[in-house]
Amino acid sequence: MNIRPARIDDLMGMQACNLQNLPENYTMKYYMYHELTWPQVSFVAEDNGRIVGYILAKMEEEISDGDEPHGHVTSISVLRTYRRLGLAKRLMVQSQEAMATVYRASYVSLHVRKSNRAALALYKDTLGFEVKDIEKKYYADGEDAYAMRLSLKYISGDVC
Amino acid sequence: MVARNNPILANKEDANFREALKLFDSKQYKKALKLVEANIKKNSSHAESLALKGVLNHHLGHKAEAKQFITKAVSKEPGNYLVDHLAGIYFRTIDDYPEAAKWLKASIDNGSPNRAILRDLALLQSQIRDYKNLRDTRQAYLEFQPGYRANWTATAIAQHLNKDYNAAVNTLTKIEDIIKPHLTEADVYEQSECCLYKNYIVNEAGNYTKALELLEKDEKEITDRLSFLEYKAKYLVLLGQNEEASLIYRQLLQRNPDNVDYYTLLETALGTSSKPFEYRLKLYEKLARFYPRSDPPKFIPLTFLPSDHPSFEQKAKEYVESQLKRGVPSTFVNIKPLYKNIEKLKVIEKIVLEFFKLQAPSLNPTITVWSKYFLAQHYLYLNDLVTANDYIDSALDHSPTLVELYIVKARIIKHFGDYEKASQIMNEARELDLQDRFINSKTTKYLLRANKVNEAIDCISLFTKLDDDAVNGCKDLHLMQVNWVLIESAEAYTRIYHEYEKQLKDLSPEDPSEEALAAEQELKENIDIFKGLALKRYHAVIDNFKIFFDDQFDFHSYCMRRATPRDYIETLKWEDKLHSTPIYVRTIKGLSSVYWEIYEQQQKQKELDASNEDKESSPS
Repeated sequence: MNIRPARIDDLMGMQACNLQNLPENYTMKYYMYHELTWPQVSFVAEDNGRIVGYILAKMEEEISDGDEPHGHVTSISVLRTYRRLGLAKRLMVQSQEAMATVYRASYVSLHVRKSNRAALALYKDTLGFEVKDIEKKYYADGEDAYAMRLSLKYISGDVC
Repeated sequence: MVARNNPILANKEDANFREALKLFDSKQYKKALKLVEANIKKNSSHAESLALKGVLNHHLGHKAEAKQFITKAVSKEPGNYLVDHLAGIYFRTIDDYPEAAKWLKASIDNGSPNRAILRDLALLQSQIRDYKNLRDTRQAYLEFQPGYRANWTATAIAQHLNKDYNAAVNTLTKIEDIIKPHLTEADVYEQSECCLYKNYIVNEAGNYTKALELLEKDEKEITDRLSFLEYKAKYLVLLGQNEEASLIYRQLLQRNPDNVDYYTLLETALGTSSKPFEYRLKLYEKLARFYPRSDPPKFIPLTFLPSDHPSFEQKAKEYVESQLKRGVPSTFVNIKPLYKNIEKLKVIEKIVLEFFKLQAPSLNPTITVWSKYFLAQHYLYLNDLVTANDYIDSALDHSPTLVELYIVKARIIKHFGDYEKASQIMNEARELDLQDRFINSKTTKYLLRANKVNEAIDCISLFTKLDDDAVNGCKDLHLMQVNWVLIESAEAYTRIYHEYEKQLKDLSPEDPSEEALAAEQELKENIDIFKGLALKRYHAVIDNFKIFFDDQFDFHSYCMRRATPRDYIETLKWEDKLHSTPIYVRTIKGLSSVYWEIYEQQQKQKELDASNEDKESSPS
């Protein structure tokens, strides 16, 4: 198992992994947009050349008054058959590190479906996110989302 | 905007044309068309009006009548830069990039003062990989607009693509020096990326001494610490400064101890790759103590230790048993790469069987289940389907709600050749966890393999976006570029119409009854329908790859503005080898075999017709 930054030639594998696993899907151009705007913050988990997990992340472009620069997780997932290896956590940690050092992000945010208990537990218990808000009808099908947040203040500058 | 340089009006037509251009630029196409048509009525050779009419026709939806006016215009006045520009615009609109580039370039060469054409031309030349001309275009545009860093980056990229490394580095250095005293917080990322891009070019040119020197000089500017360290370590290795390089690889491991490459590269720097196994093992034991939660330092020794080395069995045991005890579903998949070595396979088999028989019974019962799950996959790998099936059945007896077990069970049944039953088992698993798309996807795939396309689409439609009037998620599957479903569907449809063809062949040709004729007719219709569907789905994959290729167009300007030149270069390389992607190759193979069948059938029909004609025309 290998965890490394995502490259442009991983995008098709990431798209395939996302389509196999999650109901929120994106066209290739959206993946390209991520990779060609913030190339450092997306990562993949690779098993013998196959993408079995990924984190697709970005920096928030519009920062409202009083807010600080922050990252956003567009999508994260690990194939069911590769669970219990701690891949999601490893992917998340690498991405957060890059958000903080390359883009000086002070926190990272993400959305999760209110009904998705498994994901909620992962973000809350394993990754340390907190529910910041509930966004009504965030998803196309009308479901609410939890807006979650994790401070990156613990990553002070460079770790080396 | 199409601008005309010469304000002196030669005649009424020119005045009308100028007015029409203005209307075109403000998107008042109908009004513009009226004016140019009046012009053409008076003077049917007014090339500029003809060209504009072509463009307007296209915009107004008269697409078929557009091209002839463009062709006529450029044949009348090929040296007129306005005509050239309009022709360029027209071909750009119909996605004919080579022609569009040709005419935009002609417009510049024929003296158009409109410098914005250069920017559009550069995008087209990038798209068609005309790097030679791209360099001149980017350079000319830079001279027109030197105040934007993006234009310098774009020029450097064009020089780099022409392998003129020195020119590219000079361009980047020049703007760096100009901009340095004026950098703001907002420029930090761009500065960092441009420094790294410069380094990337020097590296590609093979001058590692200079690359290292520049990298160290730019260290403070570079915020992407990971790239900095990776580049630095690489140069140090290439320059033989291994000791220093190894220290950096250790730093990189601290940042990410799950990156396999860093271990390999650390070994390269330490020169241990050719040392005795014991020596290498010690290194990894130490690394495993540093990074106890990481997989590579535990797994890599299993790849280099020989199967008969006493440490191999011990290390493999630790590796497999700890995962079985934790109930890691991928334990078998993790260890499988070692199976290429049959001796290692045997050692691992022994380890797991012993664990299963001697240790597991005294542990938590789920550990026994995971061991059986492992063994089922192990025997499936060995193609011992009966043993594999026994293990998975016994696991299922104990844990009939564990989805993972059904996945392996279904796979075993598939290997027995019973696709139908395999898909039923996968569906049972799906029903155990309706929220999980992964198991839904597996079921969809197995249904497709069993040629149950409609059921498969209904199944996956539980997770696709549905328009109000849609019966299933088929449209969303296309929109979301779900290539795996499209190709699996195409292959299923192919199998289905082949089956009908077989049935048709088996029909008794002698039977003249009405029922027999009706059956024959029905089979023929089914063959046509499913062959058509197969072709349609194969083409849908091809269409997606066309979209993937077209997707890059916007990035020919975007990446310069967003300062991601390194990844832009990688994108061009990726797009250039897009059509060797396995799923694309598989599509082309499938599609062409259907077309060959059609061709051969047509040939046969022709021969048949010809011989019938011969018979008819020959005197009896």
